[in-house]
Amino acid sequence: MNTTVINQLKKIVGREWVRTDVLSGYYYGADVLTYFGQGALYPETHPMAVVYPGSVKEIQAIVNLVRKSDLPLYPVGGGTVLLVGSLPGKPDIGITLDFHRMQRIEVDQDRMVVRSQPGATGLQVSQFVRDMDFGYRPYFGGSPGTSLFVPYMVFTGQNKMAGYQDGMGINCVAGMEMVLSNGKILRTGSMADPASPAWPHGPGPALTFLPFFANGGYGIVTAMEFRLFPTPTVVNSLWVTFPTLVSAVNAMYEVMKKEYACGATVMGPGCWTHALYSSQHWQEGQHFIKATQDINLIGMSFRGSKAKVDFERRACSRILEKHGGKVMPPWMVAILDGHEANAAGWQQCNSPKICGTLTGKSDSGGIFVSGGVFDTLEKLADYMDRGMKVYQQVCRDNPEFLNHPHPIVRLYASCGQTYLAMGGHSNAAGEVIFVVDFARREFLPMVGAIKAQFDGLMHEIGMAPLGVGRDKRTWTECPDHFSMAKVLKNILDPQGFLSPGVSFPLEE
Amino acid sequence: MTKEELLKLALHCNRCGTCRGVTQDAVPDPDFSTQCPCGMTLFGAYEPAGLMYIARGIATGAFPWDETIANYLFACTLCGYCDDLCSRGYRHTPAIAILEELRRIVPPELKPRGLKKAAQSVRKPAADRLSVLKAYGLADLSDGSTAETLIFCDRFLIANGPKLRELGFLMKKSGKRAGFFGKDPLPPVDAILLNAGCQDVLEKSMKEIDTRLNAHGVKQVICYHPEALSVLRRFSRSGADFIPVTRLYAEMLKKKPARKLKLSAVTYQDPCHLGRYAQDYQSPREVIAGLGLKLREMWRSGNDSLCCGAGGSMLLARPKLAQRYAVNRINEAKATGAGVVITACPNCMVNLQQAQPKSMKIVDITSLMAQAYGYKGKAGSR
Repeated sequence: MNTTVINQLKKIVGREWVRTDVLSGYYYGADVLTYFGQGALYPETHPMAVVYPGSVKEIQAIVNLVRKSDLPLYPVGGGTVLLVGSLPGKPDIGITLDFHRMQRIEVDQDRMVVRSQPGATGLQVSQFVRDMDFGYRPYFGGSPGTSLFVPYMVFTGQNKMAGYQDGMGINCVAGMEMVLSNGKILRTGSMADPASPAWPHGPGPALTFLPFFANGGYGIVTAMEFRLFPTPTVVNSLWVTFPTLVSAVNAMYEVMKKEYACGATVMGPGCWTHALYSSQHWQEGQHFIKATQDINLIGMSFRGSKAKVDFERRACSRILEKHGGKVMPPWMVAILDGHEANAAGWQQCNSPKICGTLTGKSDSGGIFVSGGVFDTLEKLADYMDRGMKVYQQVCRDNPEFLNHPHPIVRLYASCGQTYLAMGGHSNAAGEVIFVVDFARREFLPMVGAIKAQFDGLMHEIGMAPLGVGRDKRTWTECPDHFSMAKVLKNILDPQGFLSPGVSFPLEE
Repeated sequence: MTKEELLKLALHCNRCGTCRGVTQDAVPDPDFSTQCPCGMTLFGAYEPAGLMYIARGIATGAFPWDETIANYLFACTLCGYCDDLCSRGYRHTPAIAILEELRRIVPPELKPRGLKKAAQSVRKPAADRLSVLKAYGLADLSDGSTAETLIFCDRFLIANGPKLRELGFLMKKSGKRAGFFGKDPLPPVDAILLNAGCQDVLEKSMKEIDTRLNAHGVKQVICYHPEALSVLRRFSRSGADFIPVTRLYAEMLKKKPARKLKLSAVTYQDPCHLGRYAQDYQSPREVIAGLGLKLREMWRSGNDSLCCGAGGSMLLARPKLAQRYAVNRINEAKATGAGVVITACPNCMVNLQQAQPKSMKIVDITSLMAQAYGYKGKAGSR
């Protein structure tokens, strides 16, 4: 242990806020997939120290110290969730930054933005702005307790399905503040000039989205501003089934071109993942799965005034029915009402929690996700088909999985995902996700083999990996994109001490 | 519990972070939107998910017990919110069972001295102090008499004569015929035994309590201290009904209204062992309403209530830390605009007073009841 650096860190943040004990090492060095070294998908990598800075000035001092000391620095947001991401890329020498002490949230009603520090959770922001009758739209989400800046270092923390009420979207981030590797501060977009009106790409430099998915590799995000939206008077949803995935995709395209709806998602067979995300009880999820196992589905929601919601809902129904869609009966919609109820109540299930719940037991092993995003919808059906073949092969190769009473492997694909279809920003991207729920920890080593097959398919398709994390270290499978990312990395962090081995491989 | 069982339970936690938040729609201050006194004060591995890593590490042998690990463990107030909130979802990690087991197996030399000492004194109540109850017409069952209703004398009551008198006065006013074990008191069990990991002492004490309750035909036991209430409810096999004293007060007020008290707006601190453990959120609020007081709820209230910081016997184990925890709660109480915090637990009383709320008054619900019914004696301390 580098005691000189530790002592200097203590001088910067105070003795209490530097921890080098073994429990902190495990807490910040292991996650559910390292499983304390047993049957792990990847090894534990403990930090040398965990530091809790209390201000931007302290972060700047830490960055300067660590840079001079040639040690790696790993920011982990509020440190609440380290699932599949944010473990140090280099074991035993890294300094992990946890922003728990920086949880300030402020609302600027004049500029209609909410400004948050990285230690706050999505839930905290939501509760705070809702007290003022506002909503905010974060970018993507995990579980309600997740800190905002982890694992992507930018804005997680809210379940996707919360988007059915407030929406979410990358473009709802108005600006950010970032400590660069040289210790200087970069303020982008609305944060560049607090006196100016806030809009997504100004008045500051249009670099707001630069650090997205960088996992702290470009700089340390210390504050962000989101645009605020008034709480809608009415929220409603529409659920429509389709005979084929192709027809669903075509219908989706038309809806998106019209810029109707809020959070529209196409789901292929196995779309029950989403139902489980937001069902109030596991029985609901199970009910829904049984009812929808052979169907293709579009789900979308509407928000705003009663007149707007009614109009959009009618218009979308017509479009979807024209493409062969069939509006779901009320009893099935009642199950999905959880989407809306959960958006308000925060009692939704989240991915780690749905493991093994189909039998109502809690003895599941865990969950992992492999998948990717792509920028067109046309091939969704093809990807789904290929994914299903891999799925079948996985089941053939692993009969013990297949014969286990718990569901083991599920697959879903969706497009026009919630976070991309929000606020009129219908970018028509999609994602295919292969999810493996494994019922017992003993299955964990086998899961690695299954994952490899899915990863292979993803690579073959040429998709960008979904979720930059500990086991998905490269940004994208596309060499050009990654080359560009490396150029930026060399400019912003020439010493390469910011999060090495997380988004950028160590050998790079 | 075997190490394998402990590990299995601890592995339920996937660190989703749900236990960090409060499930309600809107809060006026982000400081009031998190739970877990130690997690939101000390962060990191002090959060519930971090504490589960103690179980993982100890059960797998990844690391041994040492002072640092024990410090983490004894920073937890065992308020049970993480467990409760987690159980409302899909995959329940029984945090309290895990933490109690860890406190059982932690080497004795690593347990806080004050806590250990208090736990060891459970079998030595000062019997003569209880005789004051006789003056209020309560029967001493140690003399061989029987009573269907019993006042359970916990260690706080035993040590606090004025509070005993208040309670005796209220029992007399209620008209309820009740008894107590005076000359030969019952073992004053409470959560200190669990917090100190003395499950064996608790088990032995509970056997004696059950035997004597049955021998004297006791059907109902009134508990002043919520920690005694929750422990008796959890571990007694006597078949008796254990009720909080606040329930008795609420019924009294319905039958025999008391003088309305003139106080500024009040707020109420839900004691964890009365609310979360014993599931009684209602009776104290009925009492407050019955006394004619205007209640302003804190945002974290009812089953989302925040522990004052004294849970887990923190006042004995780490009093300074308990005081630190209390500050956030006092700030929330102040934010309601109330001038008085009412509570039904002596530990909450002490700890909230420790936070030095200059503009707030901390009051015990029993003292308010006694005052409302015209008690003229010295008010019970704390």
